Amino acid sequence: MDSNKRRFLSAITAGAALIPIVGVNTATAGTIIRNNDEPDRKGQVGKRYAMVVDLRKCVGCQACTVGCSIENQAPIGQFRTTVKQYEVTLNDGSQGVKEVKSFMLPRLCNHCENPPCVAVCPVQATFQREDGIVMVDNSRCVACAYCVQACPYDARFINEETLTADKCTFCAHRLEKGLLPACVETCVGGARVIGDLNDPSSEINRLLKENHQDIKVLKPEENTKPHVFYIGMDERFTSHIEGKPAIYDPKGGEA
Amino acid sequence: MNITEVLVPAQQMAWLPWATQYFFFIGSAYAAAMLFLLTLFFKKHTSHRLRAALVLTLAICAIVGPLALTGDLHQPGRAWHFYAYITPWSWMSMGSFFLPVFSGLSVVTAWLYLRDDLMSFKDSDSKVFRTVSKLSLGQWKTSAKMMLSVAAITVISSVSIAFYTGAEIAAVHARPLWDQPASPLLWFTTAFLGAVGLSLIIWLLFPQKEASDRLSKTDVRLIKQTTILSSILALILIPIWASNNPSFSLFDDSQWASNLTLLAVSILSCAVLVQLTLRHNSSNFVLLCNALMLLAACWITRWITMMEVQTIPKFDVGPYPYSLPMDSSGLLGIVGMLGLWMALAMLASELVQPKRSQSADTALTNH
Repeated sequence: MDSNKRRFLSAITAGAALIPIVGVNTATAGTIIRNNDEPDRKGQVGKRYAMVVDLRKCVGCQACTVGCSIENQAPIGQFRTTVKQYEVTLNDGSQGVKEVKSFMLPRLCNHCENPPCVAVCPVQATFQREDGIVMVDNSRCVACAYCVQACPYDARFINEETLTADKCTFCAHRLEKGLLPACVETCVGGARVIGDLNDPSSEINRLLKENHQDIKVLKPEENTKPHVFYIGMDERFTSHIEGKPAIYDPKGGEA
Repeated sequence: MNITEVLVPAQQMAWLPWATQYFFFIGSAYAAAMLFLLTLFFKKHTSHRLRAALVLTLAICAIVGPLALTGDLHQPGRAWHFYAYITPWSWMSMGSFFLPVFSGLSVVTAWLYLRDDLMSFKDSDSKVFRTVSKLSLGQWKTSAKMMLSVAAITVISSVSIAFYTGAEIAAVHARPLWDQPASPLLWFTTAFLGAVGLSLIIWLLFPQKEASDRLSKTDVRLIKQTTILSSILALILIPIWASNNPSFSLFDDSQWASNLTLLAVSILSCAVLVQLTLRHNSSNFVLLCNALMLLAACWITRWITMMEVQTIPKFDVGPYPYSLPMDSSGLLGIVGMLGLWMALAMLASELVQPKRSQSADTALTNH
């Protein structure tokens, strides 16, 4: 069954019947829930933060992964950002020695414009600030992991130490002090660029404009409107990887 | 283009086996509520002992289920946040209101139904039973009308639980195997297997059965028809459910093919076993085998559709590895919850003494 048909079927069965019970908000996808009515949840009003990752410049050194881990103290083996690495060969039918290439895919929270993680939170612990940054109030989070399930990008996890939902915050605490996020600061190739989309003269707007034909986001079909934009991305990496899986620790234990 | 993952960290399982336990118990509770109302409607043909077993399944599961649910929160001490920050657009938040209402109504239904049994301990030789007898809160008779009304209200509440538990998971758009109408329907149909299985266990725990305490013919028919209908519907739903995974075909994946086979065989076995072996004069051993098969099928359905589905990556190739830990987030949690249920069932089953069953039947019919 294709995804449109599935969406339609779930809408008529799950959606339509709910309206009288819980109000229109649950049933209609049109309303975007941000949970940011409180004054301390506004962030930097007037801005809209986003990130561009120029894959042509990423060498897969994991400096961003290390920088983030040191800055944000995520437990060992759990990552707010990391660089996934793939080995790619072209099967063009030639019998000669195949040229093997690497493909690097830095991954982090996409700070979606339509964040599915925010809407499901049963206690409004996760919210999206006016500047687009999706945050978790971990003093309120009950760690039901509903948001972890709802994120189509596996960008969230339950932090083993705080036992609450955890994710990339674009280093909001650093941005507020005028600093760059740790991953941007440590990126050796300058592949990661953060900026304000509402500022027409920002570097991020210049990059998006210059490369507008080569900009991709992850899973565009989910309609989440991700705000991490990739330059130089192959479309076979945007939605679901088809290939050979990674070799995991057979016990699935801690890293 | 051939792609091989080289460095891809595995995503950890976010919903723990506690979730399976919750959906197993709460499913059995709402299905027991519906079956109990049905047996009340046909109370001339059904036995008091089966009704008592159903109503106790309802009440005990409605207590144990929510405890398992708080276990699934990594911060169970913050459960009160659900009521401090009401969020009507989240199914889980709605559930936090539906659930205590349902649990409360379930206990009230069981109490009302078993009041005659409680009162019968008034002159018991045992001090414990005489004390327990005081739980009837007076010697007044529960009228049949009141019993039916409360049971019907509990069924309405049970529908809210069936609906919210299904919608809560089906709302997770990021997982196509959940985000489809077949998944809540599969949980709903198989919930009846759990309810019948647990009721049979409680029925077997009732003390000292004599010949007159056997299942009535209508009891057997109810158990058979419920099981067979649920199994057939589930067997129709399984292939529909399994075909809705866009990233790869579950039928072509060896791990999933065996999961689906286990699922289908366990459900089919319920129907076959019940059809072939269940009689009104079946031995306790046969009843126990039926009960265990039904429980296994209900539990396996939840394990595969909730836990195994989480090993399918949303983006990567996968599957992510998972092995059941031995601690409270794994096997200990599962066994602990079953043990709690069993302990409550063993205590509560003492309420239905053999010789009182007839009088309780007539007491309800006469009002």
